[in-house]
Amino acid sequence: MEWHILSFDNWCFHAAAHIRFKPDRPAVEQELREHMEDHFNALLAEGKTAQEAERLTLAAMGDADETGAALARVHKPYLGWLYVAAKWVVALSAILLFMVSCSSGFDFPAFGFSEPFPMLDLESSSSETFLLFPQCKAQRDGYTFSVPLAIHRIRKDDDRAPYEAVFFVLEAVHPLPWAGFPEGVRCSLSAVDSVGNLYPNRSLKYSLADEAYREVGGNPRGRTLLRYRYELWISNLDPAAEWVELRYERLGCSFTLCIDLTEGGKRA
Amino acid sequence: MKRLRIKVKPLARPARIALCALAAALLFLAAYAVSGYPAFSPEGALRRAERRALISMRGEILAEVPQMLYNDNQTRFLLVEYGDAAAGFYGVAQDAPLKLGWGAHSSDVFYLFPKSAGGATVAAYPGYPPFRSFEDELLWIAAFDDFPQAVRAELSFTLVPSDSLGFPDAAPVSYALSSEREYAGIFLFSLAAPEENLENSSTSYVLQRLAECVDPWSAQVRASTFAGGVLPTATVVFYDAAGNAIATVETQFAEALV
Repeated sequence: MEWHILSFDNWCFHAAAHIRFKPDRPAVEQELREHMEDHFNALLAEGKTAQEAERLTLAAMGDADETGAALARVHKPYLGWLYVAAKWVVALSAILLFMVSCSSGFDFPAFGFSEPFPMLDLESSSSETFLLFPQCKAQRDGYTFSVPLAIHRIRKDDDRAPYEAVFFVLEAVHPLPWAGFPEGVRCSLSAVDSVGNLYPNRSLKYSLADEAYREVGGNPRGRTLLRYRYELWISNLDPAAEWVELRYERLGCSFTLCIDLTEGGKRA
Repeated sequence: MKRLRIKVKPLARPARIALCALAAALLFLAAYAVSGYPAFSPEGALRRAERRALISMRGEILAEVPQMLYNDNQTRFLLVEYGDAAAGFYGVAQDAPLKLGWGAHSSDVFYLFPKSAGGATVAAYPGYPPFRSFEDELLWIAAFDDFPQAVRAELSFTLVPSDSLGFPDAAPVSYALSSEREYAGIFLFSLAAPEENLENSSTSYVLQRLAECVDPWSAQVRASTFAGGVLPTATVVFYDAAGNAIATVETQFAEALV
């Protein structure tokens, strides 16, 4: 080993020893050493001898303790410890994610929306089907409700009386991903048409003893991070109805959404 | 020949700390999402259930009762009051992975029913998971009351099964229960499961249907369970510390608010 390297290492070690955050010391030592070697090589290139270049390099760097004190002022330990702590937090979060995933058997809830109303045969010759895209919106308790799609179905069998129904997608959006399905709508949403007929919620129907078999029913059909969808229907729609209004009312809270059945929905 | 030295400047330490914080936050959120977004307390889970129920009211928790344990999960039974308008039952379990929270994947139950005007509202609790409590252990019946001076209450009712149930042994059964005041605003009564065969007993069947009265999806069932399709009536007698009866309230068992 060349002598100058030993003396440079010694100088760098003494200077870096002033830095309170120990993990920083090797990097600082390395940087100082490179700087000294550059200077040493430059002096050699000028024609100085190795001993002279070493002496001049060490003289140019000054006192190791003074330089070290200056370095200690720049290298605050709290940032270093904070960085170490941050790395630990990342590691622990990764372990937590792994353990939670193992604990749930990697059985993650399904996300995403499937094609709405897959059981409806839109090409059926015995039915007329109209796709509607109502622009209605309502807000309640942080949820924004809308009806992105409605399907107005008129069944015209020769041997049976015409039967009309509206199938619709009710979408709720909430800014918090943990809000969950707004279950209140499922058991409290009813409808009224332009003729004045009431379509009670399925959960209400029996207590109202509704003989006409008109009802609003349906089920939740998927979610994404912030969106929740129900596939609902209004059964036994009055053929004279020009619109139906969805009504939610419970404990003083209410909102309405209107589906216009004459809005010129294109024939499917 | 001079050697070309290329050094990639490392990120400054504050930037690396910020990156670590971001990574940790993303991992933590992922763990929270995988857990089913559990709430950190039963009350927190109740507030979420209220939001999902779209009722815009924050109920006052009158009692929080640790319930039976099932599959190692801790469960809580909360009795909630919404002013003079309504009352509610809320059942929630500490069911998040690693037991890190309550009501993961919205796996809780929330029942709302209107308060009666007579000074006492009586309701049977369907349990958590729904309709399991009585089969396993106890049927809870709550009497929300407006008599703060009452320290003891006696509850009595008779269940008359409908003939249409098809039980050959169907006969009216009367119950008399007593409870000391443990929580302000409410008396809690518990009824142990009968020892007879649960499957073939009209007594047990009718009690279970009674507990479904506060469930909005059970309207059809309860109408065909009780004689005449009428919900049973309970009589509650309230006693003060001296043992004097201060009020007697006769009221129907509460029905779901939809």
